[in-house]
Amino acid sequence: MDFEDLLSQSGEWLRGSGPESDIVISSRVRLARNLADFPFLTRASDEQRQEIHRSVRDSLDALGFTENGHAYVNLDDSDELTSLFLLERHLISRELANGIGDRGVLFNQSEMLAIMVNEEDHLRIQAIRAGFQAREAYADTVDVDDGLDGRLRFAFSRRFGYLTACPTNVGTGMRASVMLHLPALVFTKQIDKVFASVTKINLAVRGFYGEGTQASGDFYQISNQVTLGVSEEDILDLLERVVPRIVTYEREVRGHLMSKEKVRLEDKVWRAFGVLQSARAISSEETMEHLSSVRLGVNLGLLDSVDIATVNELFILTQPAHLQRLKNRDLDTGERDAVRAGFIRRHLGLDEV
Amino acid sequence: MGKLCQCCNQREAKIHFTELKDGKKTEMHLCDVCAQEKNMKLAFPSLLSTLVKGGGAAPTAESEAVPSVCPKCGLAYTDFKAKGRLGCPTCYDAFAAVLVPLLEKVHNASAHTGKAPPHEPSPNLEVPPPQERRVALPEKLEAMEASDEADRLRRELAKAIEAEEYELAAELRDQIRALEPTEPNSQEDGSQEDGPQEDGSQEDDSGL
Repeated sequence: MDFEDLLSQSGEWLRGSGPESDIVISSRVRLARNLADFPFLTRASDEQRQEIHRSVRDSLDALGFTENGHAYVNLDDSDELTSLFLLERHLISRELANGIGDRGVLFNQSEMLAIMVNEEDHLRIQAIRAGFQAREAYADTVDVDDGLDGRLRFAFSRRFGYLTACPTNVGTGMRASVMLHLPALVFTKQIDKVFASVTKINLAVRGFYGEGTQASGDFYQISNQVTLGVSEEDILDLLERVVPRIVTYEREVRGHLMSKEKVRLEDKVWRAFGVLQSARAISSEETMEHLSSVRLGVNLGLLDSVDIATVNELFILTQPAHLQRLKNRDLDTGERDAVRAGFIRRHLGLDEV
Repeated sequence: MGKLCQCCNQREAKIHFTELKDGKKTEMHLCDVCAQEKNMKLAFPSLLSTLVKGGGAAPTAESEAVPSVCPKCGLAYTDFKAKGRLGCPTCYDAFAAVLVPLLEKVHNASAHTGKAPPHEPSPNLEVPPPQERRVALPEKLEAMEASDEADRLRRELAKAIEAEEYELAAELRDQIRALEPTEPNSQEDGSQEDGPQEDGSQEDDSGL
């Protein structure tokens, strides 16, 4: 797969399919693994880093993961824009994007599977699925995990489980998260209540781009906080009990808004659509906000001139590094806002390409 | 004694952090107790340094059982305290005496109960029966949600009465009743035939 192909496509998990996809954008699972015979990365020499990288790649080769339809990016050889681009697509973590030294990522054509090498841990195996499919995403990571286990020896202790550089990930090394679109709960100010209950049961709430980011455009990631003393099944089970409740709550409030405040809601949706169709310069934040309203409008049947997949894709494709790759040059904030506005207008079908 | 806790003004502040909210920075200084009450999720290094610098873990155990460096990778224990990252797999055993209380704090557990590598001989698990834990967590949420939900419905009910929407009021009252008994089963039933949601989806259709 040519890396440039990425510009004209988007991850399959963004296509707006999958269970509960009106509210659950995607489900993601990642497993942290380290090779038993090497120190963790903060203590590894450059040679050891390279050796780790090489043996992981060799094993992935042997498993057929590097055959056609996969892309491999060595981030040490890549520019900052490429790292940011992959980060925006959720193919790599911020840690890997901002890291130094020998490191890389391998991902498949659908972008549903990504294997990061030399991140905080030697390996981070990540699977993303559209809609609420945490269990399926977990199964995808297990395939890779078990496949690699035949070839690499992972650091594992009976007492502490899979050993990770940071003790907050030890045990299962598993983080399962779902990305939720909760505009109605935000609109009616119910969201804090939801988060209060969720954090009490060991789930963490984060923004669109994970750790340390602010939730924007009504998107929230909910993930397990604890990785030790719980089984993988426990983690999935917890999400499967909690997420449907949040989904139901959001739907309920949407229904309420439709019956009690339909005009206000329609107004919000159509104004947002109007801005996106006509703006000549628009910031990332404003884009997120309006896309969120449009997405809600489409899901409630208030707006049918655009489909969910297009809206979902726009969230990613209008990010700064994507716009700059599109133009093939660095753009300052002002230029980006103009390019973004044009890009959105074309995608919403008003301007000719 | 250092700074006092901003929340209770009694105990010494042991957790110091800067909160970023809507672009504004707020410095916070809290004691362990208040921080815990606020149910804060702290960035790990700050939490860690609180714990190992004499907040939680017993200093005696630390000095007795913990080597100053990991025999395998040479990571100094002080380095782990400062950065929150271990140096190699062996660090877990080398620093076990201080890691265990830390893991207890972070994970509320200190023993693995999940998957083992397929090639690892299967461990003799002294695993707590999964059933116990599986029920324990969600029940907490259910109870919380039930009361949340009941609160919400009560507010709706008050509004409905005020607006003289008696049909809706009657419906809401039935829903509140359905929530009252706290057996999980009846709650499950209640949420399935949730009035507002049904209404909502009908409205959706007419909206098209």
